[in-house]
Amino acid sequence: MLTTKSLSHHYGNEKLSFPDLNIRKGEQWLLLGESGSGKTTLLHILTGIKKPFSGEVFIQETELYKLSGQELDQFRGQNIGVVFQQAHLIKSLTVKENLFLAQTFAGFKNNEDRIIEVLTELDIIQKINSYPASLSQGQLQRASIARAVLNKPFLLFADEPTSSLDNKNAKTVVDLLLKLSESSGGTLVVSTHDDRVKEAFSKEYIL
Amino acid sequence: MNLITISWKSLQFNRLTFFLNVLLIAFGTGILTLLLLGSTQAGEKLKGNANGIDLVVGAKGSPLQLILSSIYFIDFPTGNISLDDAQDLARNPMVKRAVPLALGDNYAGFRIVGTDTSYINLYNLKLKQGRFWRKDFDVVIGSEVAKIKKLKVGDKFNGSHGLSSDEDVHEGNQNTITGILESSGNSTDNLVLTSIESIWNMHGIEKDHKQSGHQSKKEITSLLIQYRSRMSIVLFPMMVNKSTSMQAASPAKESARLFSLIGVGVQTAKWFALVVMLISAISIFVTLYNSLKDRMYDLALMRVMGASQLKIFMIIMLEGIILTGIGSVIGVFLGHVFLHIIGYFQDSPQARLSGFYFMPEELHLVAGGFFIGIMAAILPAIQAYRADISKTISIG
Repeated sequence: MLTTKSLSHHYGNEKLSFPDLNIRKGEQWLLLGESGSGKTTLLHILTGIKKPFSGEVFIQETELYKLSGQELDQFRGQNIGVVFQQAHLIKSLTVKENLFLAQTFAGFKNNEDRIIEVLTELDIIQKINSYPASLSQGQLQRASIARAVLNKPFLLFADEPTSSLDNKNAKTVVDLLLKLSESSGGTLVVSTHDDRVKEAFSKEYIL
Repeated sequence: MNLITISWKSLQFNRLTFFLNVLLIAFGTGILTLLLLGSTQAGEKLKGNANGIDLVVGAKGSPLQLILSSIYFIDFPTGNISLDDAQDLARNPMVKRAVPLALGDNYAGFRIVGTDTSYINLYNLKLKQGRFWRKDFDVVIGSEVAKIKKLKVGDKFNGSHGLSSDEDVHEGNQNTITGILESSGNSTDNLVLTSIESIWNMHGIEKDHKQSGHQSKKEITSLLIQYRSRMSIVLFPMMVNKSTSMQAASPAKESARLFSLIGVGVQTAKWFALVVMLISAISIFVTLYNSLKDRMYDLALMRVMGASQLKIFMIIMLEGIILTGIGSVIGVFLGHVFLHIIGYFQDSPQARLSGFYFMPEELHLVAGGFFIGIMAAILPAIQAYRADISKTISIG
């Protein structure tokens, strides 16, 4: 499903080497490491937004960095969902319009029913027509998750999804990510250094 | 949700900036539209009215004033000339056609012009209703006169002395409308035409001369001349100016002089409008460039969602194009509106400018607006295109 071979990257003289990953469909993995260990870099490499210095990334049969720029963009939009550390929606668009955007850029037709379904599942349906400025931090994070899972990606990545949340919201977000990946049969990879998250996962890579 | 909607929503998010930029573009395009339509219409009206007239002969004075008063019926005449002298000139072999004009009266600001059938032939005037004049005080009115004063064939009115007021009314003799002209789009639409004899009789000249028994000392205001051959262009005016007490003025030459005088102002206004357009281009560039700093994360997220670099480039380009597109279309529209308002308040209906006048060149102005949008947006769009998604998202 997701395999990597000899991945490395460098920032100036500092070189980062990553362990080879072999993650199967439906598994839920944790990428653990201290700040500066390269968690975010690895996650960006795996999501196709940062080309590694060396090594290969395979998602199913596709070698990610052999795709052309446009093919890679479309592949990412259709198959990979990402939740970032900083919950962020586009300010000029409502929650619904932000989700429409995810469908549009992935090359799918706008499907309002699917948006309602996801927002209902994440319990923020009441904010469907609200602008991001009127959402709380927890609601923003849930809306970001909604955007990431909207196109039913078979790979869902989350980069430090709980770092800016309190205990209650952190637990809610982790539970949601696990529940959504289980219900869709997709694969979940969460990178974090947050101890509150560890218990929920049985498989982990340590960087 | 398409790229245009995304760009539009982004522009709408900063409404004040959006409004200011649209206003700047609209202002510049509006001035250019006003100048384009105004100068073209004025030129066409000047040309259309002077069509077929090679020379105007009248009393000595300003040649431009003579042209303005005898062809466009705008200014006051330079004075009168003797009918005998005018007839002598009309018989000159170089002259193909000579049209006499007698001015001096008006009806509600519309000039009453004494002339003969040669004037009708010169402008190829056609009647919409009624017939041309047959006897004294029969008048034929232009289409605009009929429309504005709501006059019909058979109506009677008293003319007033002078050219633009209705204070000194000729109480004795009433004019009777015998015909209404079809609209011809030139100054004749705003005239009241009658025989020269009517003008003389209105002022008691015919009667005075009959009583005194003198040879005619009748006068007219001017003579519109058409040459028999182009060879006369140089010789005839020279002959009139040197050997008679009258002056000859060439409509082509005076119109060109008038345009060169107006041209300085038009040119200045054009440069002003172009400077405004340049300022608006810079303003749009600064707006997009500054907003890009705040929106880099948004654009990076769009890339993560699957947007290609080209789509990101197009979103920024569309913002510039939408801004200038809306601004220039509004500008062209406002140019028409203001031109119509100017026309409405114009003193001289003969040269009235209209907002309902369209030119293909207006599309060039809109295209120019789009071009400015493209130029203003291209650098920010390239910057967005080249942005490093990973770095942007990591910085947050």
